[in-house]
Amino acid sequence: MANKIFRVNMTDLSTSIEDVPAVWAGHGGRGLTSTIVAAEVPPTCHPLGVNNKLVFAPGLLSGTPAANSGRLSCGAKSPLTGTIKESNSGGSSAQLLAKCGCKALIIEGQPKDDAWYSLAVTPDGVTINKEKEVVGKGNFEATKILGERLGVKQGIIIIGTAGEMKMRSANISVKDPDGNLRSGGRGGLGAVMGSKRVKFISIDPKDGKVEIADMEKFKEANKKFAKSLIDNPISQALATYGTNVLVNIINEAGGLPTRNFTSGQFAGHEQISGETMHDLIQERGGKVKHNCHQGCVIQCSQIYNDVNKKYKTSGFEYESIWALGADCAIDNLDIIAEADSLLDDIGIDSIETAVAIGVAMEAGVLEFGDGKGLLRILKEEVAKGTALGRVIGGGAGDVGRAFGVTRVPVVKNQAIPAYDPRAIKGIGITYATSTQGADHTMGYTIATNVLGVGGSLDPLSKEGQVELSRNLQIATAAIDSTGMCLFIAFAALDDATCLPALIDLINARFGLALTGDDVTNLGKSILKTEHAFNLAAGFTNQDDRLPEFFSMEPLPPHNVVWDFSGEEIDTFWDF
Amino acid sequence: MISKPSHIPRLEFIVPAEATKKYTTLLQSGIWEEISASTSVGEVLACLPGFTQQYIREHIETIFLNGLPVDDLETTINGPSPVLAISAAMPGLAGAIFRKNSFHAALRTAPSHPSPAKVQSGEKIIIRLKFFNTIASEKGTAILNNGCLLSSDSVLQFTTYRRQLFSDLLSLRCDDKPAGLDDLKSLLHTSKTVFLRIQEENADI
Repeated sequence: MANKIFRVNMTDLSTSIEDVPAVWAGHGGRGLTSTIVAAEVPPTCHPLGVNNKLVFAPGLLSGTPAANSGRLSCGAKSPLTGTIKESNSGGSSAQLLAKCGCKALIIEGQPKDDAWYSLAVTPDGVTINKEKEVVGKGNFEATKILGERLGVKQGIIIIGTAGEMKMRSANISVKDPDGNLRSGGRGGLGAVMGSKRVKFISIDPKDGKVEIADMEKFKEANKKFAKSLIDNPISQALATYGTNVLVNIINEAGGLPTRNFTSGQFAGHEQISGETMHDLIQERGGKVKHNCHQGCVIQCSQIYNDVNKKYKTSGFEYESIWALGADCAIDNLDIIAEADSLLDDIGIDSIETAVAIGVAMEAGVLEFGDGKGLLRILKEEVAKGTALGRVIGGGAGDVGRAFGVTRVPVVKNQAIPAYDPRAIKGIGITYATSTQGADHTMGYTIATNVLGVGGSLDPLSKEGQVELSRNLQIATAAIDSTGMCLFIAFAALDDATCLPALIDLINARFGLALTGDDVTNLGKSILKTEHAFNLAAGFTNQDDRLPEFFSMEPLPPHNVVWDFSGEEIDTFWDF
Repeated sequence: MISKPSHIPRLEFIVPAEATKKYTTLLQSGIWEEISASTSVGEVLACLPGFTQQYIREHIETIFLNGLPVDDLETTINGPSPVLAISAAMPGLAGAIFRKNSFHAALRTAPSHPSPAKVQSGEKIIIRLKFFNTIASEKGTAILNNGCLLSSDSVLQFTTYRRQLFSDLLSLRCDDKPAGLDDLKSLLHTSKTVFLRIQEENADI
C-alpha cells in the first residue's frame, strides 16, 4: 500500500486522503505526530478546543515483520501539560493502520452537535458514523460489544468514560491481539479524542500489505535484530518478571517514592515485587509472559489472575504497581490489580491517577494504605465523574491545587513516575527537561555510543550528566519514530549488532542508506521541533524545573536532595 | 543489628519433590550470614552454594551494599550490620544506571552520608544478603535445602500473603516438633530470626 495521510474533519464531517508532503516523508511514529502537530496546531490553542488536532501515526517499521515494531504513536497538544505530546501504545492498531496505507490519521475540528461518532479506517479511507451503543460504557464492555459487531480481527482504538468526560488524565486504549487493552496513557490525549466526540476508531486493512523495498536485506537484518533481542539477559528477565522486577532494586536504592514522595523505601515492597507477582501468576494459572502486539519477541506483558484464578489484568507494569502501591502505601497486589483493571476500564492514566490519589491521601481525602478506599474512589467518584472524581481525573496537579497540598510531584503538570529524582539524579534531569512533562521513557537507556551521541564531557560532572540526559533523549526520540518498543534498548546496550540491524531494517524497508548520524539528526530535529512548539505555547526555561520540595526535603534513607541549579539545567538546550 | 539470641527457632518445611523452587522468593527478604569484617563482596558470594566465579561475573549484574551500587567485586564489607543485595541485569534507565560498571553510572546520585563505622578487620559481623530477580530462582533451592537464617517477620508475612502456596506443604516442624502455619506467630515471636530448612519429600538427607 502507498503511504497516505488520512484526514478527518469533525466540524463538517468530511474525510480526505492526501499525498504525504515531502517534509513529512522521512518521519514515522513520534517524529511524525510531533511534526504534524507543530505544523498544523496553533501552539496557544485550547487543547480541548476546535483548533487542536489528534494525530495517530504508526512507526516507520510498523506493519512489517520487523520484531517489536508495533507501537502506535498518538500526538496532540496535551490538555494535562499544555505542551506538545506524544503517547505511544502497543496493541494491534499500528500494524493494521500501516497495512491500510495510512502513514498518519489526522482528526481535526469538532462536531457542531452533541452527537458521538466512530471512525472506520480501511485502505479506501475513513468513514464517519454516528455512535450510540457504546457511548457511556467502560472500555471492557465497549470492546466486547464492538468485537461482536465488527469481528475480532479489526483493530480498535477507543476512549473510556474518562475521555468522554474530557478528564485531563484520560488515556487512549488500543486493542491487543488477545482482545485486551493497551494504553497510550500519558498526557490526557483521551480527552482530546473526547473533545472531537470520537468514541472509537476501527481499523480493517482488508488484504493490505506494507511494501518492502529489499525483502532479502530486510529478512537478514530482522534475523540479526530479533536474535539480539531474544538473547539478551534483560529480555529474558522481562519475560519472567515483567518490568515490576524493578520494585525490589529501586527500593534497595532508596529511590522508590513512597507515601507521596516522602520516603524512598516502602516497607511492603516484598508483597508487591515482581518476584512475588511472578509466583502469584504461576500459582493462579495466569501467564508470566505475553506479547502486547504481534511480532514482539520480548513478551514483557503478563496475564494476572485474581485469587479465584479468573482474569484480572494484563500488562501489569512497574510504574502502575509503584504508583498504586508504594506511593499510596498499599501492599496488596490483588487490590492494585483491581485498581489497574478499573483504570483501564475507565480509560485513565494509571500513573497520573494513582499519583493524584497519593496527593489526595496527603490531603486527608483518604488514609495512606486504604486500598478499599482507593477502589471506592475509582468506582464511585472517578468513573461517575463526581466533583471529587473530576478533580482526581484532572491529575496530581489539580488535586494539589484543590486541596492546598504543596508536595505535588509534577513537572509541567504531569506526574513524576516511579523513580525519585533525588535518589537517581540523572532521571531528574530528564523529568525537568522533557518536552512533554515528567516522563521516564523520554530519555531511555539507548546505546548513545552506537548512535554517535556519546558524551564528550566528564560524565560525573553536572554538565556531563546534563549532556548524557540530552543524548539519551535525542536517541529516544529517534527510536520512538520507528514504531519500535523502547525495550529494544536493553539489547542495543549489550549487543553491537542490534542498533545497526535496526538501521538496516529501515534502509531495507524504504531503499535508503541511512547511517547512525542520520538517525541522531532525526532525534535532534524532533526534540527541537517539540521544544519550539512549547516555547511558542508560552513555556520558558522556568518550566524546566522540578518542584521545590525536591530541593528542600531530604529523601530517606539516604537523605539526599535535588541540587541542580536552573542554570545547570538550562544547558540542556545548548545544541 | 542482629544479635545472637539464646535460642533461634529451627523451622522445617517438608514439601513435594522439586517444590523448593516455589519458595525461593522468600530470599528477596534476605538471609543472615556471619562473615569476617573486610571480606570482599566477591568472596562472600563465592561461599554460596552454586555461585561459581563465572556465575558471579556474568549473571550478577547489579549489586547494592547498604543501598549504594557496587561496581567492583573486590569492594570490602564492613560496619555493624551491612546489607548486600544482588540481582541479574535490570530493565529501564534506572536498571542501566545501577548496573555494575555501567556507562550510565554517571547518572547516579552520590551518597550524602558517611560510610558506617568500621569493625576491626577479621572480626565477625552479620550480613543480610538479599536475592532479587532470577538469582533467587536459579540458586535459591540449594540455599533453602541447606537451611538459612531469615527474619522471623519476613517468614510470618510470607506465610500470610502467600497462603495458597502452603496448600501442598506436607509437614511443618518447629524445633523438631510438629506445628501448623497458624502456630508460627506464637512460636517465632520471641526471636527476630528463624533458621529455616526446606526438605523435599523422599530427598536424601
